[in-house]
Amino acid sequence: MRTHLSVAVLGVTLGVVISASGLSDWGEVHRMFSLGIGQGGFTLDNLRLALAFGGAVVLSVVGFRAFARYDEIPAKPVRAGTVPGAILFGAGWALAGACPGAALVQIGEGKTAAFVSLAGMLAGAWLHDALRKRLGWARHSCID
Amino acid sequence: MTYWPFWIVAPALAVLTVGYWIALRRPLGVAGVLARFSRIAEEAEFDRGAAVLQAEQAALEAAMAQLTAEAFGELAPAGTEGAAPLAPASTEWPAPPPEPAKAPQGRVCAPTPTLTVHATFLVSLALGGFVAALVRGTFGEGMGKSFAAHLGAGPRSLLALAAGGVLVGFGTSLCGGCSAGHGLTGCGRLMPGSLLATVVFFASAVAASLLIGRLA
Repeated sequence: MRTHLSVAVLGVTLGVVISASGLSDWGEVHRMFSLGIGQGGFTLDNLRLALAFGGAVVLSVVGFRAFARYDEIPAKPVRAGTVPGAILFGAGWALAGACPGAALVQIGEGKTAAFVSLAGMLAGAWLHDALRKRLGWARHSCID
Repeated sequence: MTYWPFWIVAPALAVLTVGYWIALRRPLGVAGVLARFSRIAEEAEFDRGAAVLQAEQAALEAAMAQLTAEAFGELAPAGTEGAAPLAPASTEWPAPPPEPAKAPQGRVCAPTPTLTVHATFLVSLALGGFVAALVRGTFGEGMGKSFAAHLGAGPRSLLALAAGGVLVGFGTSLCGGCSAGHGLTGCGRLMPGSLLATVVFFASAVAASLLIGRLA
């Protein structure tokens, strides 16, 4: 029960941050990945989300160093699926305007079309799992 | 529409990333959680197996404790009674060497939580979006002008979302993480696989966005 409560508090907070940052807004995601090209160049407004993401990474490095330096967090080595998977994921994020977390946030925001994105994500994950079993790929998901 | 500036979003995401690990001892990630629900029957079986294993282990420990008690009687923890009183310390003895400095102990990763925990996480993400949209007063406004300008409306736009979703689901499963698992948690810990994945998915998204902008 305690785990459920912690997960719920963190999830709601993350949902609010994703929504308030614009990461669940198709137009904002499109603007982030267009880097201002053809839209007025490298202005602070056009690079807002890219800076937010980059800044979050830098601050996370500092945070993990400061508070979790000796923790044993599972490693994420480069694997055969890293590059091809990331290419597909990037293209899909730009097209759907949502990473997995943002699709759920969009549903909460009342963007009903996001149910289609979510269904697509579930289908894609299912497809990968089916292919993996059939072709004997190693399991790449050391993710939660 | 006004969204938070980058200097508020960045620390907020970083606090959540590190905080998630410290609170739950699990790396923050969404794609992997979502993927579990795409093979829910198998994952439910996994949960049941984990629960049985845990119960069996507890039963085994209890049985061993009981057998020990039957064989040797209830033993008090060593050193509390029955031990011979220590001889008075001789002042001629050298002081014991100082204990070596202990290596700092870190947290260890918790086992995979149950599906109900993961379902709670996904639902609470949506709830966060709901709250934020209500506060902004934008609940139910749809995907927005830019979306309609680039991808149109109706079945065509839904097809684009479905295709994008499949690419996200397949891609994240293949590369083992998403913007949270690789981008925030993995890069935050400078994991080589995550750094490479993040550079590649960002570059791929830039290329795709420029293409979408050109086609529309």
